[in-house]
Amino acid sequence: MKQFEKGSYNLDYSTYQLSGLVVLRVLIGWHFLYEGIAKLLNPYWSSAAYLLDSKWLLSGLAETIVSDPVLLSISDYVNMWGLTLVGASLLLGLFSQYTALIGMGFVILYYLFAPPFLGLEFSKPGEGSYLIVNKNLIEACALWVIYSFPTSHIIGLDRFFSNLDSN
Amino acid sequence: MSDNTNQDNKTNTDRRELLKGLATVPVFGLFLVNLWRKMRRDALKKSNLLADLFQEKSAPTVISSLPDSRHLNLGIIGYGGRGSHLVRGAGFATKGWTNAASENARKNKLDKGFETFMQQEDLNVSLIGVCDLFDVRADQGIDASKNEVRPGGKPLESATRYRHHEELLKNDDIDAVIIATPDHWHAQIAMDAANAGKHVYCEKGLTRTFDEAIDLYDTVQRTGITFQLGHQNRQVEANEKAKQIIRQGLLGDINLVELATNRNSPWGAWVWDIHPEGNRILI
Repeated sequence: MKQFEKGSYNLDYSTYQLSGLVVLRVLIGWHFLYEGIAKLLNPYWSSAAYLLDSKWLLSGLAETIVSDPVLLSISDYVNMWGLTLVGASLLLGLFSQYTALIGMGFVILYYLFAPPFLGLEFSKPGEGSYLIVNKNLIEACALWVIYSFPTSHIIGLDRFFSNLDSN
Repeated sequence: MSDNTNQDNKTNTDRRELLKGLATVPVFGLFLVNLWRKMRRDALKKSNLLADLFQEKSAPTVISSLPDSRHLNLGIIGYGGRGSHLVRGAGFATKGWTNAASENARKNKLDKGFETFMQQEDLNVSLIGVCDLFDVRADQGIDASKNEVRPGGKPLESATRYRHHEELLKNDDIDAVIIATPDHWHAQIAMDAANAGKHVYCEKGLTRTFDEAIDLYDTVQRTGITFQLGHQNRQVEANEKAKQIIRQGLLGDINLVELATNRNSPWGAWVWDIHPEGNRILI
């Protein structure tokens, strides 16, 4: 078995492993892509509502962003386009290893802006029941897996850009 | 032979390369197809909703400018707080009001009072009679009838002052009256006006008693005048729209209606001070 090296492609997967990882990558890509496009298509969408309900460590930062129109508009654009591009990248397998990290950054921020911790009350009811662990945290971990076990050089457009000689 | 095999192998490898590289592109295509379907469905849902909302039997009445041959002469009976408001709705405001409103608009761009007044339809009317017991109020009414700052520009005529509504009703040049006296006078003055052949816009409440209401109804029927009671909220488009929305079942069955009004101030309850120069001796 080949040695795992961070950021390298020196991994051999069984078909099952590869299928699982690619499906995970594609599904998360789909999710990001639609989250981004839905925001792009909605002229009334703004990150303000989410930020205004922020609790814990980053609530001060959230307030700063919401109270400054320029920062808020940057936050909106970064979210809309960030999610869209990360999504398309994961789905198509183009630069996926890097965008997996960026995507992980996004969901970790979403988690930290509104963590389901004991004693924090949010005005918007959640769609499920969470104690410390929520779907954002799990998606962040899933993206960590996608970063650590890259697949786009095997199944994905990255295949045309890298490692052509290795397979 | 071996060359051919090599060639075949290479072609197969190339094809496999291509397929693996593009393996998830169909998923992207599937995403786009579903995105398009969702967008179309949402747009359809929205347009259906809007179509339901805007299904109107008729558009709200808009009075366009009347030709000169249909110029109407108005009289106001009771030029107090409400009376002056109604007369402004007909296109006549005192110089004091237009000066203050334009000054407010100059100071605050969000203050649209003056703009709204100036942009209302020119109803092709003149205010030629003002009936009020209070000299100050009557003078203000006459001032309003002359004010050139109004939709339609300089008024054709100015108003004559009357101390009794019967005197005003004797003026044959007056086509219609606005009645904005204290409530207990509404029915009597409205019937007198109808009998004098004047069309009537009468403030609410209409009458004090049921019998008065019947009398007034009969008088209006007999004289054939046009009568409107000042329930202006009935004509507000928002209320019409709300009625349509409920009728069309967009809200489902209504099982609770909550209403609230807040008039917890003397101003809100229409307890207004008498003008300092009001001739109190008559009260």
